[in-house]
Amino acid sequence: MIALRGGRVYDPAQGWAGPGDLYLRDGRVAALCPPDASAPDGAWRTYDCKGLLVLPGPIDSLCRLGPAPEPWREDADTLAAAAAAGGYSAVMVHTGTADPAAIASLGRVRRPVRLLPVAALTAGGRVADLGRLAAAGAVAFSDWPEPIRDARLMRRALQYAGGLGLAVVVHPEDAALAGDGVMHEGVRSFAMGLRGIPAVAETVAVARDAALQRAFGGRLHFAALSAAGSLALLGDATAAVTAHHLLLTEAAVDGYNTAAKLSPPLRGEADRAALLEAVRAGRLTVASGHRPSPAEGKACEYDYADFGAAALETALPAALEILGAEAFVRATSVGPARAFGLEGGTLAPGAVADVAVFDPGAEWDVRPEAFRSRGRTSPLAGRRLRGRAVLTVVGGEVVSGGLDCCIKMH
Amino acid sequence: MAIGTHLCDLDDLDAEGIAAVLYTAESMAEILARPIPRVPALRGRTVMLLFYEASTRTRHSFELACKALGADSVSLAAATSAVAKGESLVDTVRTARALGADAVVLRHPASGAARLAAAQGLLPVINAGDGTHAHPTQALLDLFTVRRHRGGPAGLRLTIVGDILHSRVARSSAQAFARMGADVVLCGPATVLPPEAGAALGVRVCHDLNAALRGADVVMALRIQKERMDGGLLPSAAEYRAGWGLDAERLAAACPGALLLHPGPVNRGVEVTPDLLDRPESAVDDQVKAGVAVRMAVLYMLLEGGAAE
Repeated sequence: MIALRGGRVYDPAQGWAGPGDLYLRDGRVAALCPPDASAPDGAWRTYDCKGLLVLPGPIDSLCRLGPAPEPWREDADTLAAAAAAGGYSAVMVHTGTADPAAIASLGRVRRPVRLLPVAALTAGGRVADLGRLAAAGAVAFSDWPEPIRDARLMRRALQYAGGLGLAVVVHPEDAALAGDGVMHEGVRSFAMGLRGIPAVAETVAVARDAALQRAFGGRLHFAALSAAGSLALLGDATAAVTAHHLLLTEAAVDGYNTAAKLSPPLRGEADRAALLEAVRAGRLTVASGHRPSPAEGKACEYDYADFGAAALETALPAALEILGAEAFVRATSVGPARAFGLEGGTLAPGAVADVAVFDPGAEWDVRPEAFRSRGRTSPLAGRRLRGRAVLTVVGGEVVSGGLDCCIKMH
Repeated sequence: MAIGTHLCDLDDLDAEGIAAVLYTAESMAEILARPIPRVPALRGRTVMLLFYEASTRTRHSFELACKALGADSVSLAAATSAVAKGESLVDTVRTARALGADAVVLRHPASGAARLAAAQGLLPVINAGDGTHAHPTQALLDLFTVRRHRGGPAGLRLTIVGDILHSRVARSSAQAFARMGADVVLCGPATVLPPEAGAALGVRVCHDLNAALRGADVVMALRIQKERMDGGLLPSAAEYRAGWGLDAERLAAACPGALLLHPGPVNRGVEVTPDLLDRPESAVDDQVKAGVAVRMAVLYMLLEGGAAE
């Protein structure tokens, strides 16, 4: 029985944008009341949310969880802790596994945030056992960060997954055009002598898969876009962009900065601006793209460095700062819930009690060494962000936060 | 800035720094012309040569430069050392420092490797070629060679022909010549000379060989690697020779007596016809000779912190 009182509530599904008191009971939203209304009956543990944002719980659609349990590698527990600290209440973890038992086991352990397993889309060049994986709890299918090279396989996968009512998440990249590129292809890659990944490597793949969806149906979601040219080609597909791609451009690679070696690559300012505009227009959702690597995977020559960065603890604050509360909720909560048919995305009475409380004014410096994630590299390292999750509530329970700015009243 | 702590790429050299190196290299060339070409300027110093990639002329040129200055050079060839056992570049640089090296000369297949080594802040790093990024001492020796033959390079036109995309020599030399006031034109097939090359290096791009050669005072041909043909960037050696190979007839479009440069090793009969190399306008051997003097100058300036008096 939790009451979050005095904050500003943003819930586009109800058209609520302003002061409101939120009451959570039995894992559900009991009531959302105007601030002058009296509290529903009951013994509420009340949090004073004055000056804070009370938002439907963000859902991350793109987060990697590797298979091997080496000590440096992110496991489900560190990932969940990082997600909770970052303000997420649910995370779609891309496991890359086609083993139904592995998918089922992920949901068995209780963790601070909801880990929603995404199973492999293909196995050994064929469509994986999607029905069995769905029965084991998979909420979507994906081979990310690998692209699907074979158009016929992509067609079959879309059709088969569509029959199950689940989405296919693809990394839109033409493998031949991308080659062994390591950054955005352009003036900068030429000057630095680094092999480029041209923007068309993405747009060609987006065009192909959108055409396949148009012809054969199915639910298609592009994991993360990087190029402005992709936006006009999406067709009926949904798509995300990472917070990194909303904040940064390829300039972050200067000095052979391996922390900014991402897939898809950071691109130009025109791309960044177009992607941001598409998020504001509700066309794209925002994902973390969390793909941690060990320190030695980044402390080396740029060519040899791993792709990816830790992102769960920075994506939401970064997105909130750049988008503002209303667009933020659409992009991180309402949008992903709709795209994947997940519960959440609203604070209407009866909805699941997944809530994030953000302090939009809190300034903090990104220090990867302090991440809860085992991934300790971020292209945002050293950057000052404005906005931070102060309370994460999942299923009506506080799983992270309770910091000074959120004082328990009773 | 005359010359900084490191020489990783042309960002470490402004026009003043380039002029200082060339000036010092003249003194070094004078030393090399003596009956006993030795001075004890760097006696007691140790230079570690880290070569992660095959090289003959660059490596020997650095070795000779060390010898002439009285410095000890230690070679760490990639195949025979800890490097082959998977030691990281960062750790290898630490090892070099621990062994008492005063500077590292690095040749490496990955672009940016010299910058990474320099960022450790342990000792001066001289880039002897990193991936397709930079080869600053080659650019300096090209400048030195051209200056000796033609003066300038301000006011001269340099045309570089070949696989620009994969050439660290083209990047560094184009930047260096442009910085010293030369008019630089890049020329080659569009697959290996993308339009952004001009903006990236601050020079002109021209895909028409005849137009690019017209009025050139200096022509540099680049080595064509066989793997570019396997990768489909260039159809074949015959196709390249037919379209872009330099011969006497084509070179006639350039200024009379235009100087011919090539960073070597030359594929005779592919990028240039053999007869061109034997003409007096060919400065290919002078480039090699200049390499020792220029590298002496760079070593001396980085280790002694200034130009020669």
